Amino acid sequence: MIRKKVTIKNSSGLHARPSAALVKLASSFSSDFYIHMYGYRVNGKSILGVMTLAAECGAEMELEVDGSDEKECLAAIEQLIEDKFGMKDE
Amino acid sequence: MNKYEGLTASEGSAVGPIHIIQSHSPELEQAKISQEQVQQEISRYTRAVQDYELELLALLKKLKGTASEIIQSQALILQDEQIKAEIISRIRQEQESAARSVQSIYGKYIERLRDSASNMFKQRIIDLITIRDRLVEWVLGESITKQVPTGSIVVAKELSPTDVVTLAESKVKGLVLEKGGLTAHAAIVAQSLGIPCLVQVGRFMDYNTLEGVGILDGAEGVLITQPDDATIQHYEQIIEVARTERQRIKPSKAPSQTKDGTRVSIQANIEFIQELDHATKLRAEGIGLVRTEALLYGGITHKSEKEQDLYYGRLLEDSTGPVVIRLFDVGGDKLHVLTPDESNPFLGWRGIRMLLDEHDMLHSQLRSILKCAGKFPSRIRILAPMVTNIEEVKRLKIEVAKVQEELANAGHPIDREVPVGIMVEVPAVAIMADSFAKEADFFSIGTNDLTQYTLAVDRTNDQVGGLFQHDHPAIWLLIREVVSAAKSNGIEVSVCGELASDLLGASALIGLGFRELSMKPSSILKVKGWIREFDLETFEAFAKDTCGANDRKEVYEAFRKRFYPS
Repeated sequence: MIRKKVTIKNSSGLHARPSAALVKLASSFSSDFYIHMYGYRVNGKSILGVMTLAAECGAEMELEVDGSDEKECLAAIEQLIEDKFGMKDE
Repeated sequence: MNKYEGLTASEGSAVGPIHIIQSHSPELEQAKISQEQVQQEISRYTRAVQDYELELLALLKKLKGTASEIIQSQALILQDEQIKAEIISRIRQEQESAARSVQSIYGKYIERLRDSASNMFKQRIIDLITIRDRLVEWVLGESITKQVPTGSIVVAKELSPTDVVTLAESKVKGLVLEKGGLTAHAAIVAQSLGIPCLVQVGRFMDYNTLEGVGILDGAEGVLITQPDDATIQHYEQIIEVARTERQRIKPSKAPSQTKDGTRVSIQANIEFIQELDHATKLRAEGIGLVRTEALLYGGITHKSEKEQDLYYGRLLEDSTGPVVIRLFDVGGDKLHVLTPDESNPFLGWRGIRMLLDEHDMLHSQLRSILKCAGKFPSRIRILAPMVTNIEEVKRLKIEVAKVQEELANAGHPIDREVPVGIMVEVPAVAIMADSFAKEADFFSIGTNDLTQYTLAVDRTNDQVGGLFQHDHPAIWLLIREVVSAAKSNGIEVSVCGELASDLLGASALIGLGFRELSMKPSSILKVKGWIREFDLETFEAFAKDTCGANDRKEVYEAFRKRFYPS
């Protein structure tokens, strides 16, 4: 299992479309994926879980990835967050 | 007497009391459900999710950009495994109805968002409310289609394919839809179940006149309301004549063969288990194409393997002869939530291309099919969609062998001889048919896609739809190559596209050497009756004409000359 702290960088935060992108990406890996934030631990493969975190721009969260492809999975997720979910800032 | 014009999506006429299915107000049952109803409510919920997802998929096709992303995230929420699990366990543990459980669980998430500080996230609440309300409508709607009296003509705004199947089980006589197109999923299901169906009826329909007996006239494409007795009698006669005619052709114990005795096996294309009964009555000599995609609509990645096992098991039990199961053919027009936005979905990640990437999905389907093949030896054939490279066939065969090995090790009986064939629907495969025939165990020609890819015409695009000619001479030339490659390599070849179900198409195909045709059940009697009227020689002469024709017009002229000489 690996854990890593990240910061959300796109201006609109983890709203519907970024959440969908994140969940889709995470679901393509076999590893389990959880997000820790404000004492909540939500399933990162559940779009409702991710959305209800209501993570805004600048929010800090800890990613927890556990499974055979955890390294690749974490790297891909970090990249997605780094790329601001491939969205132009609105 | 009032007349409402529409389009005939499924042939036939009917007289019967009109039953209106209106959209429903979500009135929720308060009472606890009984222990026995728990399973029923759970499947009511999962079916509602399926229907709703189909609705979203249909919507997706029409949308681009942001709008489609919003719908996609709605679909993701709908299919969210966590919320599904929570709703199902709520039904089970609290013994609450499906509708109420949907309300409570979605309500919980809505509250959580409401508590959140950000305004942007408060805006998302509306998405959840939309999903919740629509889902409740679907849950309650399902019971509404169940209360329809036998023999009615159903009038509705629109119906889902699952609704049509449910209505067919209550033996309704006809369907009249305000919306929908000729190729809408509901219309196709109505066709294959043999229920007369009109679509796009009554933009000006006056619901007050929709009382008492109605007449659905499939020949004219109209719904007649408040008819006088003479009109009713007139139609009852027409329907009676049609019925006797069907029965007259029905000595379908007569083998399907040409007048001079060449056997042609006529098989059925099916998608839903409920269609099997119809196909068997029509004495289909096998199932030439099982479309398995409907299994997928229920879940983003795959239906549980158990559900697949049940589906394939019933398919084999309730039919005779060979059963050709096509692996999940998603993508293109059958947009799937998983597929990324593609600017050219028909040229994109679909069929075997997707399956070879989605290892788990492929393996779970293969496991289920191969387990079934072990129980019904030498009846199942596996068909791969959208093949373009020989490498894909080789890789699929390796996967099949792997799964067989796993199953054998787990003690399952295995049919080692299960044939693995390919759809010929891309011109590249037709052109290289000889090479593909050395790797594939059989060919099945999908004429719809082959036409679309050869003529560069999108059949769903109204502006060029007229150029979609599956009887274009170029198609005949390609098909001729495929048959001759199959014959010289000693593999079987059949056609499962719409071409096989029209008389001109079937005639040319038989002439080209096909001895297996698979079609929608509603065309079987017509084609079988036709084949028995002529000698093989006539079909062969016509096939030669089609391959030498310069355009479609010449094909039609040749058809008239050969089969209707005056």
